[in-house]
Amino acid sequence: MLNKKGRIGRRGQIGNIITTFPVMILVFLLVVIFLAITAIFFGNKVGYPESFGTVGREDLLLKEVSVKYDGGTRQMTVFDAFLEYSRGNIEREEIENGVKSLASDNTCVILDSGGRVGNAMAYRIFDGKAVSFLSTGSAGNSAGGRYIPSIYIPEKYSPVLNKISINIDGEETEIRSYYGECLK
Amino acid sequence: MNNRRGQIQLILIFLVALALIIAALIGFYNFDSNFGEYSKENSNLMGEVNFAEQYVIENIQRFAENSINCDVNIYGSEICSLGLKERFMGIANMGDVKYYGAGNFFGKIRSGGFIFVKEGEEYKIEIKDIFVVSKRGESEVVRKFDVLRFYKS
Repeated sequence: MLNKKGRIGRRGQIGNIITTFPVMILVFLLVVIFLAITAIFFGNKVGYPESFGTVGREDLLLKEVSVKYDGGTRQMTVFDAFLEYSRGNIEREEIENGVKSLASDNTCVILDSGGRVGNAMAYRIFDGKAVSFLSTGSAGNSAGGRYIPSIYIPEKYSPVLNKISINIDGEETEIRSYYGECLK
Repeated sequence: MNNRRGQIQLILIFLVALALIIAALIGFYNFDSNFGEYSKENSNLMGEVNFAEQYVIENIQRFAENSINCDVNIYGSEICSLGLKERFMGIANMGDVKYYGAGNFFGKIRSGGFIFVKEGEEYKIEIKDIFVVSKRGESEVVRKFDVLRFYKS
């Protein structure tokens, strides 16, 4: 409202400020609607960078093997053997022989962990006829320690590998495994 | 004509709009830079909890089968001479490697909180309120489920 001098008075200013609020609320609502629509239409198109680990009856980690453990021979899953191996309670040869026993002429197995070599958790077994552990000496170097690069797994097995990241005693360990028909 | 005071609300709109733009830009920047990590972490959490559930189910089957056909050479005459449920408990206790993801499964078996009986030609095992866990830092996923299985002798 104009005063006698033709300028907006105090009441006029208050009135203007009050009428400004609905406009600001409207702008705010429009922003919220914009963000919501963006999330609905574009949010679903963002995929996970890695697929979920798939497990099932044919998961190598859940296969039972016989290993020497705690002063005797014990039946346990490959995963349990891996866990105890990573804690230093099972010899490498034991888990190697255990997994090797699951392989045959037509059945290939791969067990690979990208854990730190310093903790003796990096090893690999593949191909029923040529089961072997990688020497830790072939690991690459990185700032966080020495890691086995994944290029040693035959490329044809890459699409069928079960990949799972497990928290083993506080250490994140990725395990890649395969149990099934030998691929040509 | 408006004086300078009359322009206050217009200046306020400009400042608020500017603040909103800056806040939105900061939000977009942070969202983009962290989404991959969060997504990977969530993926790992879900992957492990799926595995842990399968691990528990697989172990129930192994322990049940080994209890029904108890091998004295592996489990010893002390365990194999026990009743069905106690045999299951003994074999499960031997198979406990303290995997954190297995949640309360082995504790439940140790406390006898399950049913394992022979009904006619079938064996029935029922374990309720099992939970498995996957944890990464402050993030944790817990999955609860029941297991009911029948085995033929």
